[in-house]
Amino acid sequence: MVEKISIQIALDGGAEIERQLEGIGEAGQKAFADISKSAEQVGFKNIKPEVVTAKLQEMGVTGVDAIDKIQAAVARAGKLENLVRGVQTVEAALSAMARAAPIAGAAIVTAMTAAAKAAIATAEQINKINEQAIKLGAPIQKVDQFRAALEKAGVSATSIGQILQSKLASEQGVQGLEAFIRQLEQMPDSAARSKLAVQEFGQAGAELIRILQTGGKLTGFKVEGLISAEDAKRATALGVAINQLESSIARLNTLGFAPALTAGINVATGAVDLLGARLQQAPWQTFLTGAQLAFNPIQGLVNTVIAALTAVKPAVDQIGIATQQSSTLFTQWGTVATQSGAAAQQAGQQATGMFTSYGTSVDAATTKTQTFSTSLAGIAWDTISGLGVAAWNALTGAIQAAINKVLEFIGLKPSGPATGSGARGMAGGGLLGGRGTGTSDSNLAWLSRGEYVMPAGAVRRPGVLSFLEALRRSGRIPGFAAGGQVGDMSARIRGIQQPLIQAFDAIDAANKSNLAAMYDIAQSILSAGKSMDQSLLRIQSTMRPIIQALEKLLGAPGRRGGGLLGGRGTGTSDSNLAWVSRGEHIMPARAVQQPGVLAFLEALRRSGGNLSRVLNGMGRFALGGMVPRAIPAYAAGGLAGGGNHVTIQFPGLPAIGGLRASSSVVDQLQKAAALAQVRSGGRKPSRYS
Amino acid sequence: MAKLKVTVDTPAWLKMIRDKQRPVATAAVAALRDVAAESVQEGRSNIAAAGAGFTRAKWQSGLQYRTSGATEGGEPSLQAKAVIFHKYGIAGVFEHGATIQGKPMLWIPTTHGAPTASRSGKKLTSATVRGQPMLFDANDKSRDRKPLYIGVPSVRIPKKFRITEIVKENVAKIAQAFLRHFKDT
Repeated sequence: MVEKISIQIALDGGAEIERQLEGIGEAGQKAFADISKSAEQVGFKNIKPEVVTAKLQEMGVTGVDAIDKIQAAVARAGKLENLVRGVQTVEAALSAMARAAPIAGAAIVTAMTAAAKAAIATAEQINKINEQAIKLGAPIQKVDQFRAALEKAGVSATSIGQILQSKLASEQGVQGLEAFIRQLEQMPDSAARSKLAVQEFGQAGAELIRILQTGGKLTGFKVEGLISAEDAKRATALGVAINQLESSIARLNTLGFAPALTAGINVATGAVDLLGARLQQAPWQTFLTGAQLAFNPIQGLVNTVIAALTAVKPAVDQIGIATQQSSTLFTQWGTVATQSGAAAQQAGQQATGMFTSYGTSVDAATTKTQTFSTSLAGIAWDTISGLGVAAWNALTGAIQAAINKVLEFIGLKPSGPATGSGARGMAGGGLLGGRGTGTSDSNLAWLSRGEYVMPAGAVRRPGVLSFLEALRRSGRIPGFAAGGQVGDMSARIRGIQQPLIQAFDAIDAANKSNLAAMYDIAQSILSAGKSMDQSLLRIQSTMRPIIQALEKLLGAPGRRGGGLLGGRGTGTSDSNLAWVSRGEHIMPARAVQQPGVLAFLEALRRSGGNLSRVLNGMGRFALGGMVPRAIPAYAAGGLAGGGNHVTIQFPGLPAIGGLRASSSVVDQLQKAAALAQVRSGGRKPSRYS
Repeated sequence: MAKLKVTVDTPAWLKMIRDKQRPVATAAVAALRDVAAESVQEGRSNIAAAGAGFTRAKWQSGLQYRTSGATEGGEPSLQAKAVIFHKYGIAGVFEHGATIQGKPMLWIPTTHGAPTASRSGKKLTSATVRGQPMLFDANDKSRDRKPLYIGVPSVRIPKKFRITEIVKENVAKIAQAFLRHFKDT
């Protein structure tokens, strides 16, 4: 296993830095000791860094050349060698120690905390002194004077307390204490003060001497017998703390803490004084008087409110009684309402069951209807329609032949419009003018085979004429792929979509089971069509005399009901004479021949010109999408909602064509086909089963 | 006579301590970064001087450092850490030294810069000549053919870096860096 290079350095609270700084400090102290020792050797006493530095500067030892010059000086004066090295070391150490102020910062915090605790103890001690003095009947001013004198002499508060207590408790009392203090104050010589202290305090005085000789330093202060060991310990701790504080403040002075601290204390002190002064100067009496004046009306107001509430109480009691009565009434109402609710719920459940049953029946009926419709859509209507058209053409051909005979008889040209015949050609289609009404068939016109006559009543319906004109000019049903309002079909389409899918599934199943039967039917229809054709031929020969008589009577077939024109000739030959009405619309054969147009026109004609209904039945394209190329065959029945042509091929059976389905159904079929391919791709591994 | 009462404002004390601790921690974190950066710089020089193969920049730039815990609650922290690491795990081999063993042999190419035996692209045949396993080109049938690889059971890779020592040396100077930064704060 390869060991990676990863080395961590952690501050760990600055322990390493502190350890190294202590090392620097120790080195500095050692250096200072060395330099002191060296200084003694060369005659300096009580050496101080600034003095040594000044001496070196006098010698010209400054700046970066110091070492060279010191080395030279050492060479000249051998005893200075240690001194110079020591000075260099101590200078570096002092500099480092000055920068090591963060440690001093921590120390000052500790020291000040200790000082605060000691100050608290001192304050308690002073309070005890005062209490003792009061108890002994000594004047407080005197005691304060004594204490101030002792403090000036460097005696700690604890010791002062003990001394005062001792003197005040003696026979001399306050006078003796006063004399003693005065005597101390008048003794400038510390040795004499020490002697007096020894005389006065015996064993304890020995400790006091040392205090007095050191100018008030309390380090190591211990007084046996005079003060308690606990107080002595406390005083010692206070002395240590103060010493640390002094030392820390001295170090911090180099960093500018002391001025800031002093300024802060001054500011705080000033703020306290100012606050105190302001509190003292505050017009308390005025404030209290104002408050009293303000309180009076409030009190009066409260009394008024209490009186009002007392007066209101009977009314509240009455309201309570009324509420109780109302509560009973509401309870009764609630019972009735609950019973009514239960009855309503029961009725609702019954109604729900009834409607559910009704809905199931409706669904079943809808499904059956849709199944029937889709079954119709699956029939090869084109074939049947073709047979029908052939039969019709045979019939109309026979009739037309008879008409031609009539025309020849009356002198008109049998093929195409005769010049000056009075009948006009409608090869281009369009709206018919002329005389009569919309159903009078008062106008004779040459029409072409395959043209379509839209009845005047349908043409007059709103939008139909413009729609037909657009259809006639373009030869295509106006598309809506780019949007445009064709009626609110969204809800109906949504309602149809799912049943359509179900219906498609149903027709799928039906086709599977009835496929052979359907083909038998188709074959039968085909045979019947052939028989019909032969029958029609026989009818033609039989009816010829009748037709001739009719032609004589009417001159030409009427188109009152509209519809597709048969006859002879081409779609633009205008070979067929027909009676048409004013306001009818002729759709040219080229437009009628476009996919879906004939079915659309049939649907429009049968609806009486209800364009919106027919368009709604076409499908919804307001949101764009693929517009089917073929228009739905509404005239021949089938599913509403448009759709795509679908051909289904079952294995071993001929393809089933002529089916229509929506895009979603087609998508589902495609997905199912793709899935079937996947499923038939082979046996899946067992882990996927 | 009015009594003297002294109270200690704890939040004020804490604030004062925090104010005093902040410059200390700032300087300490800066010192930590200095030590880490100096260690990385010296370590890269050490890697560059380790010999052929280590002069490429990626070996040197792979030695990096990152610090964590430099701040806590928005304040500089004395609990900061710095990790000096090399991006290549294999660098530890050259820092500590290692012994590589073959299975069963390590095949050392006799030509400088030649590919390893498994990637030579040649059909090799082994032979032991005077007790020394060797690999020859199987298609080389000449009598004076030379071995392409010599088999050895293991290879000792000597220690080439001294990153750890460099870091220790720099850590020993962290107090100086601290004082330098503390003076600036």
